[in-house]
Amino acid sequence: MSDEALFVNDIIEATRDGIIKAYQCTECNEMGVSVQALCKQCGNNKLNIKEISNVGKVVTYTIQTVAPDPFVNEVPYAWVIVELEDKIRITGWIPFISSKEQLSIGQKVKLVKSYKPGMVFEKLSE
Amino acid sequence: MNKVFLIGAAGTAYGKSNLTARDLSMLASKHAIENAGIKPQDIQASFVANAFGMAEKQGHLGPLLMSSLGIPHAPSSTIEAACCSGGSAFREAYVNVASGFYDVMLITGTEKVSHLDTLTATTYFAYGGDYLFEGCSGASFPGLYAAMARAHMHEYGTTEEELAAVAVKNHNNGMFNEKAHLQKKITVDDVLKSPVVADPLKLFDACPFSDGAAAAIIASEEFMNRNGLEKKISIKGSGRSGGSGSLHTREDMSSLESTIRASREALGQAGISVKDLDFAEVHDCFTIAEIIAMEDLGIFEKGQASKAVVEGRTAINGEIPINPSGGLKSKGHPVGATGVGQIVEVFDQLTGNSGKRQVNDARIGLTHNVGATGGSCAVHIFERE
Ligand SMILES: CC(C)(COP(=O)(O)OP(=O)(O)OC[C@H]1O[C@@H](n2cnc3c(N)ncnc32)[C@H](O)[C@@H]1OP(=O)(O)O)[C@@H](O)C(=O)NCCC(=O)NCCS
Ligand SMILES: [Zn+2]
Repeated sequence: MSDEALFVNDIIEATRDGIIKAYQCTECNEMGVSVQALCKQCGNNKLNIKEISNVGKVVTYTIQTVAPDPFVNEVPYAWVIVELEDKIRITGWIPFISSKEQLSIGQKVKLVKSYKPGMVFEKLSE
Repeated sequence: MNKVFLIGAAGTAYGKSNLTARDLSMLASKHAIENAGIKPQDIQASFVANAFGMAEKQGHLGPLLMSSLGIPHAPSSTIEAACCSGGSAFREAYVNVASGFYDVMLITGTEKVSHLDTLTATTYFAYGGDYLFEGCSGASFPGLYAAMARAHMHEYGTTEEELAAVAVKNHNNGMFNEKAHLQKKITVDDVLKSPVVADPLKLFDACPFSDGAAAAIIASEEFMNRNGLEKKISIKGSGRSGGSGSLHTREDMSSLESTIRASREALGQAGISVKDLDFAEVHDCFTIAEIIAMEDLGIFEKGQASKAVVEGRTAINGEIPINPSGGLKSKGHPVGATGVGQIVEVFDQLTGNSGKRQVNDARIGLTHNVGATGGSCAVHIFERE
């Protein structure tokens, strides 16, 4: 039980089906989507893993025109940081966004799948 | 803690080199030994700062470097903290000498990446961030700083023209540095019209991929006295902090907590405030990074640094010269060498050897070196004796 932790592949594999896995501290209820064994807030070593909402808002973003390896054929696209409804921040990308005007801070988005191996979001209407 | 002195420092030219990282580290170390006025045998141990050795298929560089200097018995290990490798290596050496364990240490930063094409280098550099999440979702290294830039612009109304002013100022300074990678005068318009790398950052907002090496030698007071060496520069403060290795999990995207912590530690040790600084070499891997650095160091209030740059307050003849060397932007950014290279600039400034970019009557200088998006930060403060 005390070996419970959130590992890289737990997070990444769940996103294939648009699912976001988070840890939650059994003591202080702190939550996050990050590779974690000990609670960031209180140091407790007992974490529960649970599914959380995949809807959130864009905190900041960039339009990538020069990309790293797996993404060379995808440019331009948006790389985004998203704050989910549970106030947890995660990272992902939105294909086919080619200019900054097509996105804005505060835009509502939803995780749909993972691809190459990043987490793909899509824009939602308000 | 014992008093520690910076006794020698030297760097190679930064840019595209035909030499290997191993050759470059040897050259910089040789020159540092010469200007410290010591024998190589005086060096008891060394740290090498190097981030992308595997790009040249060479790890474990330390012993090879020590052998080239004729001191194969001296232990040497590599310190890797992405772009903060140099500052971190210097800090670890400082701890060793200040604690009295060693009397003399050599710190050498080196990097060779210019043999990689743009895509390969962009991919290697992305490895320095939270690659499995941020890089694998498409963020390049410039992309991470672009996201910070957008957050800063949103929060404080910072403009692309103001960011461009940082690049113009650093290129102006680099014109007076014959070892700088990009010695080219540019205008705000040139920056705004340069190709977009990761919006809002453009080619001229970014530092280049550079090769180069830099080396520094530090020694205890006892060693200086025993050998009758002249004490020129003392290390007044050493600050080091970690921060979240991921950008996306942070509360504040327009500030680096590790800079705040490391600088307060260093300033506290030195017993000074930023107002006492005569100049600073800060980590301007992108124009936005220099703005955020000045604000987190406390030189300007949040949201005010970019205005100060436009007003010329950070130029070499301004109230607080920032990056007189040209910074990462113009001088170049050979990743492992950068943090040590900042210290070479401080050495040259405090010994009055900076030629046309000499800061008038420079007495106290600060170096600020960041790894990735702030996962590592090292700040050092030096004073002319
Ligand atoms: C901006 C970037 C993508 C350009 O890639 P690159 O492989 O250097 O580009 P090239 O070699 O094709 O250079 C094209 C031209 O732009 C110039 N150039 C390259 N980088 C430059 C820069 N940062 N500023 C100004 N000019 C630059 C080159 O000199 C060259 O000019 P030339 O054709 O007249 O010789 C790359 O330099 C980069 O990503 N920089 C940031 C590095 C980084 O993230 N460092 C870690 C930060 S902590
Ligand atoms: Zn807890």
